[in-house]
Amino acid sequence: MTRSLVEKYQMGMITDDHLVVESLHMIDPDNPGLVLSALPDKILPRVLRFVKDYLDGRMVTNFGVMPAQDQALAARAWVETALQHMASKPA
Amino acid sequence: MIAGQSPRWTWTENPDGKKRTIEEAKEIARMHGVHIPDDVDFFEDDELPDYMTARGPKVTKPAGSIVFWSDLVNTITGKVPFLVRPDILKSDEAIVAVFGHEMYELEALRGILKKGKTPIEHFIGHTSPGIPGNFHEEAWDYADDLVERMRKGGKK
Repeated sequence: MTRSLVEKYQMGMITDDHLVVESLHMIDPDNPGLVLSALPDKILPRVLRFVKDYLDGRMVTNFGVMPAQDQALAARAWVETALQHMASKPA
Repeated sequence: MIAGQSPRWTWTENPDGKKRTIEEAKEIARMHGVHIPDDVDFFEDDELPDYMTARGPKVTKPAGSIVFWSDLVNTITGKVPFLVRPDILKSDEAIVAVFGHEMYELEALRGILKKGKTPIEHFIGHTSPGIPGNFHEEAWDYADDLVERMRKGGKK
């Protein structure tokens, strides 16, 4: 049975950054929330860090997929908004 | 028969076809001399491609960026995850070789990553096939030695 990326992450099968990169690769730039809203809240700052560091055509990986620039840009806007909403919520 | 990407031996399946659990596999590897640190986890993964016996963490960064030990760790468990192809668990020789290979490579990486000076290109160079003398090749030599000793009935 195929486990979802989030399940694999929660079981410890993949790292935080692995979850970030593969999730970004899955997003539709026109609707990034469909994938990103399913991620644990604690991962969102790591998504933001990754997309801020993202350099089109200069990313290197040891294996597997790589998000495209339009996916990284869409994710950045969505995550910045999501984190602002979280920060403005009363504790 | 089960074959890895570059080991010298072809590993023999267990005579009874018995497939080990991950916990059993870790114990078998340890019995044959593989040191598995407490900060490492293994998982069976049926999505690994046929050419890959096991796989450590994915690392992705801008060119020239430094790889840190923390990049290899799942922050929920605090451990470095390794995924193992299911058929590896049907051969005790494959278990010893693959777990031994991965642990040799990881310990070599631990030594350099903790210094915080390894760019991602070097990290990949240490762990990729086809680069003579890198950690990956040394790790298969180590794994081959483990299997050879195992066949001779040698203990660890």
